[in-house]
Amino acid sequence: MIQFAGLIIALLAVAFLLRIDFVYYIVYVCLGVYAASRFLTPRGLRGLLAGREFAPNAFLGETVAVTLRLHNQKRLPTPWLEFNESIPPELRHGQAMHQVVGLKGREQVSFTYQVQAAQRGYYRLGPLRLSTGDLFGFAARQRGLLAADYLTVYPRIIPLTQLGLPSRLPFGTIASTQRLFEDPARPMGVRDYRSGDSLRQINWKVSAHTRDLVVKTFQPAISLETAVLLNLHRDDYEARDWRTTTEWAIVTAASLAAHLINQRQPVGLITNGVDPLLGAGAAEGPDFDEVSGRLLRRAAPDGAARAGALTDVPPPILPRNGRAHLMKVLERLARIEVERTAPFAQWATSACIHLSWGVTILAITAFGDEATCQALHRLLRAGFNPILIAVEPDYNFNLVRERARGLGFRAYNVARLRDLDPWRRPRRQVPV
Amino acid sequence: MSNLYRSLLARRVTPAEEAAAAAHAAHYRADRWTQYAIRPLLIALLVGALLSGLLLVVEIASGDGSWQALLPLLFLVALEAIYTTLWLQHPDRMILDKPVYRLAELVFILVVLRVVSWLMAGADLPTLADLALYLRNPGAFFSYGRFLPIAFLALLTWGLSVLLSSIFAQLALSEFEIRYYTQPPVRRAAWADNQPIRISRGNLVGRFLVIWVYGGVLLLFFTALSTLALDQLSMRFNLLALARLGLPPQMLVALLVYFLAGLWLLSQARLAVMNAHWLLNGVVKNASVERSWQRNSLLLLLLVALAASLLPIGSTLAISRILNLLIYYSMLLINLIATLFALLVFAVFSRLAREGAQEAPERSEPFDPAAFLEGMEQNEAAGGSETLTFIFSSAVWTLLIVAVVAAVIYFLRERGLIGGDNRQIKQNWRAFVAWLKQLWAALRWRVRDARLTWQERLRIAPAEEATAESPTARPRFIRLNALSPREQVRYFYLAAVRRAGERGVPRRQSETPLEYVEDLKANWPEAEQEVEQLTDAFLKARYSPQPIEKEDVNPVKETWRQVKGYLRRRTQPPADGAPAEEDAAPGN
Repeated sequence: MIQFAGLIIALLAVAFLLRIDFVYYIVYVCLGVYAASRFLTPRGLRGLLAGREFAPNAFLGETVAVTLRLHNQKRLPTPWLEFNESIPPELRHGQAMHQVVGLKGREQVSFTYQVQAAQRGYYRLGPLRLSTGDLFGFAARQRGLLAADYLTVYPRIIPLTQLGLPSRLPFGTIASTQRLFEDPARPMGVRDYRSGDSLRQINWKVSAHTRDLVVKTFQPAISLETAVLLNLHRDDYEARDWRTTTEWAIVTAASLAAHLINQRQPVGLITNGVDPLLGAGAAEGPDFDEVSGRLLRRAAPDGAARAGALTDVPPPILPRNGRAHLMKVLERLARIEVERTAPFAQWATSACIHLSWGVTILAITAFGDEATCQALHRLLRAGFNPILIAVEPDYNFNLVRERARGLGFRAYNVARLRDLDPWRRPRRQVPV
Repeated sequence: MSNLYRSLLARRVTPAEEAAAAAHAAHYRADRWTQYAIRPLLIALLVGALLSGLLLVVEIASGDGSWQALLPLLFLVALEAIYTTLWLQHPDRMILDKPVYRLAELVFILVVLRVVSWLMAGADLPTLADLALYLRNPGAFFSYGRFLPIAFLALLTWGLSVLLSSIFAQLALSEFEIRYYTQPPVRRAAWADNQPIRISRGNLVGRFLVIWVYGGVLLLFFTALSTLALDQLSMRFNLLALARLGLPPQMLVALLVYFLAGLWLLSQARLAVMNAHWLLNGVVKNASVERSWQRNSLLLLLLVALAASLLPIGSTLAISRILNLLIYYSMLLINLIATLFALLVFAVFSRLAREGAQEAPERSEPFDPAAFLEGMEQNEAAGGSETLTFIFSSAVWTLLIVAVVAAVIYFLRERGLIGGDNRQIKQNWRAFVAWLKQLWAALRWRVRDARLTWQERLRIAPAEEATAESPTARPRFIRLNALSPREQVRYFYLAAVRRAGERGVPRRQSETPLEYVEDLKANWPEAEQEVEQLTDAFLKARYSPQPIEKEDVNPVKETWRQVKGYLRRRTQPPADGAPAEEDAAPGN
């Protein structure tokens, strides 16, 4: 731009020295173009509204359409606008969203790109980097940013038909196969006294007020509360193939939770994995892997000293039912990462202290070794209904099954998809 | 990376990716209007404006008003240089882009200029004596008819045009760059050896800016020269006293064109730089960018030019007066110092002169070129041999003619204008003829379309006019199935009205359909219901915005047939059957 400044000076010199009025006009034009470029360019992004629209959750294998909307709210056009949407490599499907457009005054444009939910996780979409500039190269480029949004890709869910899990609850079990009881801990309302009603159920205060006998009514106890106890302690798995096996454990957990919620049963999730959104450093904001685009666990300040600590383990999700609760469970499973926290045998007993008596515990872990079986036996003695689901392949699993039977609980080896077949058959073929 | 591996990598590109790459590349290829019309024209205007300033100064200095007539010629030379540069940028012709070819081009231009300058000088065909003179003295051939100054100006124009167009040709994305950088990454990795060399486009823009700025300063210099009054200059040379004498209109236009074209070209250069930046970074370019860029830059320039025209001009500004004062006193100081220095030098030299006083040289005669040439010829005639002169000049001419003919043939043959099978010309001609045919067909189609549209619109009108002029006239060439359902219903009613008119119950101009239906019912009481139905259908078709479907037409058609049957029963019109004054136009 030194040359341009030199031209202006030369023009001014000629205009002043020779008093050629028309040269002033040329000076005005040159300075006007320069001033307009400098004035308009910083304002290029001010009246620009950018937005991103997409479904924030996706199931594995789904294609999610993400729409970027750019609205030039000014009357003045934006001659060129370059935008670059950062898309995680694991989600990329088709061309990158790095484009340049020209926007007229008050024009709105939208661009849609697809992302492929190919791997469970919590991904960052964006940020959208915007830049614009002038038409003559007099002004520096202006840059803007649309903050990132997040996409949760749920783990794979394998449809199950019937689990056939045993219940130990005396006052409630699955669906219509058992008798219906009323839970005295869940009062629901009152009704008129009928002959045969227990005197203990009479609501004396209301009866006195209404001068007529009324009895309490209770919610029927038909639910089988289940907690999925997912072991993601890395050292409990075979070092050779721990990534694949732990992913399979998560898929199994998600499938069981989805099935039980679909059966209108309350399900909870307790895991000793790490949720990067809730763990150490979460307050500083999420950190994402540049290669995969997945959420990363922020390194603990004291590094290895923290390895094995249970402080990063997310709080348990207590059993509830309903689709919203299932989404909560699946979101946790989408983000959860394997970490060296606490071995299953040490952790299992303490992890279940918040659960009610009689809850069925689906313990998903690597093997059914002695320590694991003893831990589950302790849970049994504590009044729970533990069931072992081992996800590592074990050709001598009959020994484990016998050991578990001896200790009073059942054990299943679910190391591959076909191991789930008994739970995927049509309902009629499976004994309840 | 082995070649086999690379070729395997390159094959992994899917057809969808191929298509995306092709679409991506299409947006980076410069718009043909910009490449072949706007940009060359702007460069030619820029060069033309600069040369126009020079020509104006020469015109003022020489007092000959014909110099400005050279401007179109120089403009053509500029265009020729620009288009040749563009032509040479094609990958198939890059091999020709050598100094030899450009020299041949220059010789061709000079030959054309020689002819043009001859014609401009108004000379007849050369006589034998002239030819003999040119044979003896080749210099006389070239000096005739202002050829040398014209050639100099043309050379200047050509050089400047080639320089500027080369800059813009390099700034534009080459086909190699577009092909390489629009490929998917896998293929790009496979073609790593073919990666185009990166050009520093920022430096090229800087070069253009420098040329434009220096050209601008030169034009300002010409402007300043064009405002000088030479008689004043001869009396007293005082820079500050050079009052503005008003700019000649040509200079004004040249200044305006030069700076506006330069600014627009600057914008074009910026676009080229951004294009390269986007291409190299894999940015998908939207088709709107190029259009938006051209439109906005032109609009901004025009708006600024308009706004600037409303601003006060230089000498009316107070700041300008203050600056003038400052400059005046600065110049006065410099003048004083210079005078003192001159006095000092004069004193030293006068002292030296006094010491070595010599006789003043005789005043020389003014230089007369004609007398000088005549003297030279006389000297040659006296001193040298006539035969030797003839041999020498013949050799010069032979060499010159051979060189010129070779250069012109080389230039024209490579352009495909002579020699070979003239495939390019034939191809261009065929394309031109095809374009003309296409244009003619499009025109015919449009005319036919317009005719059909008007016929459609006026379809009812002929029936109306015919009824008005002659009650018995029938509309012709109406294909009922070609009409829309709405128009079919209207046709049935109007046909019934026409028949009723023929039977002596015409519809008066002032009569509405609902009034007319009473007349019909009075005359054909047996058809009361049908006539009412037909009228209702007409009113709905004429005034209701509701759509009329094809299924609605059949009942109306049936009703119309029944009405027609009733109307036929009265075969004789009444005796006082006046010409129908009906207005069966759809407008009622």
